[in-house]
Amino acid sequence: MRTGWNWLGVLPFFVFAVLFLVLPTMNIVIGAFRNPQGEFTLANLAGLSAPRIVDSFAISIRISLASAALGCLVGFAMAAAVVMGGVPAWLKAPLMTFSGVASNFAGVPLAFAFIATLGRVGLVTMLLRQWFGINIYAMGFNLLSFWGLTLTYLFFQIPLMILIITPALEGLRREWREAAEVLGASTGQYWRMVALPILFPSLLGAFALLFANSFGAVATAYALTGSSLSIVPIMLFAQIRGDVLQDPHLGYAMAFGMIVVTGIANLAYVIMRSRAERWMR
Amino acid sequence: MSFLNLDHLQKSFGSTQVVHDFSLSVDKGEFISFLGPSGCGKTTVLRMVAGFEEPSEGRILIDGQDVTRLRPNQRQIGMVFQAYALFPNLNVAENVGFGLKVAGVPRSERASRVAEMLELIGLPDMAARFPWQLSGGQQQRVALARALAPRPRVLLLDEPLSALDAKIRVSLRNQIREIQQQLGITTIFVTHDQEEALSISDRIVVMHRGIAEQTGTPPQIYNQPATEFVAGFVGKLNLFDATVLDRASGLVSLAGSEIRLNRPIPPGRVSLAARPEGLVLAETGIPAEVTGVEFLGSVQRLRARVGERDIVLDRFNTDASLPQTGDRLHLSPELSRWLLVSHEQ
Repeated sequence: MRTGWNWLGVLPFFVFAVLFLVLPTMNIVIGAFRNPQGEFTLANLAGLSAPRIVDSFAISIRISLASAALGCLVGFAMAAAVVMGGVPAWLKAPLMTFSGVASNFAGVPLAFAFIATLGRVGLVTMLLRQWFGINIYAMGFNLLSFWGLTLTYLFFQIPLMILIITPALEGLRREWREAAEVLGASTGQYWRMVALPILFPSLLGAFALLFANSFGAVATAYALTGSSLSIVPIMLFAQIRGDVLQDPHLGYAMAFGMIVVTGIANLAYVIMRSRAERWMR
Repeated sequence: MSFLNLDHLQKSFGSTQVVHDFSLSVDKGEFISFLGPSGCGKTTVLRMVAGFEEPSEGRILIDGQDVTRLRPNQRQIGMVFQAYALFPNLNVAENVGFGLKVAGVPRSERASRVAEMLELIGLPDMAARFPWQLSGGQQQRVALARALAPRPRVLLLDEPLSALDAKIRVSLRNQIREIQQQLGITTIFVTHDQEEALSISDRIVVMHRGIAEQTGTPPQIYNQPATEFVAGFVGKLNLFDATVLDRASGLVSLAGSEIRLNRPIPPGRVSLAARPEGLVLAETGIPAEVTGVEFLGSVQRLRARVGERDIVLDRFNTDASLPQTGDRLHLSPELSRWLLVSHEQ
């Protein structure tokens, strides 16, 4: 009986998960294989091979990979500087608080913030031009481009990485570094042979999360680029809400495609993690 | 000339000085224990030898080489940590071979040295296991093998037994001593456990508040404690309220009995003291009233009151009947093991 009552505690979670995750996912998957008349079809999936949709998946994956990789790199460096570097200890609390806020700062406000700072007449763009004579747009930068969107995503990707990786870095025991050092290892050897292999599962997990975070982001991209950069979520949005392009069942197929891409990414993550963690119990 | 010299070491953290003018000379192959309570500075001295802490003052010389400003990876030192500190991502063989690998030792030579080390610690079949698959005692033995594999000049042991249970602790400390003697490696062992220090050391440095209170062999530390702190920290000690009758000849009076110490009493405040096993019951002598009796198997422990002092007396378990609480007994004043301990200034 005690077990029965214990299950009651997690019931709201399961109800929530079923209503807002499992059922919608099933609806998407089923919808991807149906035509508007409700009959089984593979036409929606075949529609995914259209060049514009293939391109949208390609650009989405590239942006997600770039923003996840850069987010991991910069976030890791910042977290390492705070946890074990020479950065003053008092900086840690404000950085973590800022990261908590910034990792959730997305959508229209974030897009507006970047347009206001790095847009063609943004504050930073103008200051760079007037004070230093640097015209970033003349140098090829464009906020409404692949790198512009990647840079914007980094605003929440880097803080998210800091939040995820800081506890893992704090889990590195001082004795491991000292033992390596007294055994003759250089700092580089310690990181290569001990610290990074220990952190590798956490880094993989963080990369997978950042990839998914970027891959599914739509509001920021839509608010920033409108429809000028055809990433998958914007294309999907157009199939559901668009006036001209509307085709909900192609939208289902695209959503199904996103599930597959995320699933493959997660599968790769699980396989690599299990290899990286072979030394764990 | 000594192999390891710690020359007037001092260490401060901010405004707090944790090590005061610490000097020590250690011979090659000697096993030295730093013994003291938490916060006495023993680990700080060890970490200065390892290179993890830089002395505020003083020098550290190994085999004549001044290593004071060298990084830990340049000192050729082996160290075993309290919490094992094995690398969790490496198996036993990789852990033991780590120091050799970073030194660029060829794979075949490394493999034979690792096998030799695993044989030495008695775990030849554990090479492929990961740290989590080993018991605490096995992990610490692997940590010892890892520290010894690169043939360090000095071995540092930072409370390596304190995370282990009592039985393993005794067997491992004996094994550590055997291996140390077999390899003839100069060793510093940090511990707060007096029994450990007394049982395996060539010499002991008793530390208190950042200074070396006394340095000596285990019998010297136990039988001739130089200060009240050493006497109280190493073993149990009974203090008595005695009156000095003649300092030069060492004559004191205790509860009406005259005691001849046959040695001069040093100037300053001193106390008359005796170890529990040094006290002997007699027909006449110093009166004592039994306040409690404990039967400890091989030993009978009597608690008694002498004047205003509570004392403890240990005697081997014999067929003689146990005294009872409330019994009035006498302690013999004719002891060869009366101690004189100086009070701290």
